Amino acid sequence: MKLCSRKFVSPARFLLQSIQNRNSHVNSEDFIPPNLVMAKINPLLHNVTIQEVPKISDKILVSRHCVEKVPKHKNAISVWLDNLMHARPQYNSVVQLHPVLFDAHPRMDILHSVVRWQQEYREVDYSWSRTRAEIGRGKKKPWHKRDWKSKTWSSNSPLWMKGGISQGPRGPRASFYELNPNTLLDGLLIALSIKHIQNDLIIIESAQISQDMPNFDEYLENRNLSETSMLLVHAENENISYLEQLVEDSKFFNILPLYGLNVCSILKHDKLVLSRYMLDELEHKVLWHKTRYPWLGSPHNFYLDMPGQDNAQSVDTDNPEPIGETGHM
Amino acid sequence: TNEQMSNSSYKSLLRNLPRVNLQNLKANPYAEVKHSPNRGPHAIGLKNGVRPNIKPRIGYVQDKTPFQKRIPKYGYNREQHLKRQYFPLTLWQLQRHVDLGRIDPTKPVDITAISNGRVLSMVGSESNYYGIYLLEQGANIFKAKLDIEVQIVDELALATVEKAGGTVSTAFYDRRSFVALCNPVEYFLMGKPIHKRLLPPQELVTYYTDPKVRGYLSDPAKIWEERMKLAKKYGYDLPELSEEQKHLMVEGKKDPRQVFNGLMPGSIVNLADKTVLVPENEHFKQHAAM
Repeated sequence: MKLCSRKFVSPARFLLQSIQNRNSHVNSEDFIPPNLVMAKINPLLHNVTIQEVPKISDKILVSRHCVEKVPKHKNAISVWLDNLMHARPQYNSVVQLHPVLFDAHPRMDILHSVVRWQQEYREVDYSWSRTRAEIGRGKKKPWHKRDWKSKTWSSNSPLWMKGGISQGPRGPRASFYELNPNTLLDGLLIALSIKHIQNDLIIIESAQISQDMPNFDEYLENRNLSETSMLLVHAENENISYLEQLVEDSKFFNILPLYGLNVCSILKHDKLVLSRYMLDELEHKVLWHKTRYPWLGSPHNFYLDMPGQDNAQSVDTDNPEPIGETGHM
Repeated sequence: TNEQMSNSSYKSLLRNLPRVNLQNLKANPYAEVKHSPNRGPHAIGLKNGVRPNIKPRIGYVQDKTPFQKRIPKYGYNREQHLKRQYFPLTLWQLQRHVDLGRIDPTKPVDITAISNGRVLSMVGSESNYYGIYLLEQGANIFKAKLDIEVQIVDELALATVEKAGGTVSTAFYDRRSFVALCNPVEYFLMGKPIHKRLLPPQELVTYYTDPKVRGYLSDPAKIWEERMKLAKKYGYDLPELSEEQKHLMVEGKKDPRQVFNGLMPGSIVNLADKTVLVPENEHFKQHAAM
């Protein structure tokens, strides 16, 4: 919701207006108070018919099952499968989603901390103020001892106008910090599950479109998506060249590959559109991280251990050093 | 779709509330906020107008000998650097990790198995830890059939493991070998040839040659007698051992100077090419012979 941008009204005028409007609600049937900020589509005013989405029964064809193991205490989630090529949504088949990804407990404080990290860790504050030594005006004593003037030793002191600043910002200061990678992962899963809870999740067959594509505006109108912002996440295999041409100029539709998925983008857009081919890779990656053991000791640098590089130490098999005589090989 | 989700009033609330946005999020009002130590009533520095770098050293008392100097010395911590510590491992913990699938009961359970299954975190421990101590807590529920090798064993723990059909043995590892076994990958990445395990010090020789504790330097025939004695003492029927277990008890054990099972000292493990390099030179072979 935008912050409401109202014109300034003087207190007297505001009182007058409220007195005038006080009795108007008694008679009218659709009274809307003047200080209420409304969403763009209001069914009371605009008479818009919203299509009802049919319920999923057990007999419907399941076109995608979960790749990874589903925990015993949870069930896989089924969602209708859509297609970018179809003008109207045909509720034919259903896709199963993994509960660890889309049924996480919605912890808002984790979401907040992740969003804050995403926005802050890149920030660098370049403000820098001069101290009394850096002003560059010299060390001359302004005036010598007199009865009717205060003591002074330098005109750069912080007490003076145009003098140095004593406790000010000192140079580029980075607000970089690291969040626990487990909380970052949890934040992603919570964002995905919130989209599912609030019915903002759409799953499409694929992001690959053929050249003879039906009207995109018609597609959005039939699903009441003409003024909602959408984020489409696709796998790297898919050829998005035709989709990109379609969607180049629109402000409301953004495309993102899987490796760019993050919490801020998910929450910024109204609807989240996922392509079916991307779900396998997502599941595999997330569950690997969720079910792995922690490091034994401290994580070591893989790049130093790789063979065939200048970093790795080579062992001479022709002239080996004797065992035990030197402290190291 | 929403029926399949786990029931929670929190989720049904969210379904009806407006869309979660970047503008809707708030910090946790009940979270602990860290304050800097130099502000507030318990400030560390800049207190009473005195800077901390001017204050005298810790323990200084004006105009008299301080408390710590008045009292005479006594050797409470006299031989601390010579003492050994062991990680306590209860039977309850073992059974739990076998049930969770972190320890494989078909393979012998060693220090590496316990470290890899994250039962105990022994990596990076202080310099006087020498192994694992098997405790008897959880003996009433223990049912797993395991072949364990530890450093010290309680009598009841021995009896429960053997009653369940497993075997126990105790072996000595010096500090360097213990560290190598806890994290073998890091040890192999150092690129040094495998060292020889040291024999136990004087005070531990009587322990490891004792068949009652199934020591690795004791007579295997006497171990067989002691098993039957234990069964009589605690009143249970001795189950039959499989041929593999019998082989382990007599011949299949590690040599007293071997650190890793199947790897001779003097050899180098190449993790990148997945090979083991064995010395060909006679001089090295003699030096590395066990």
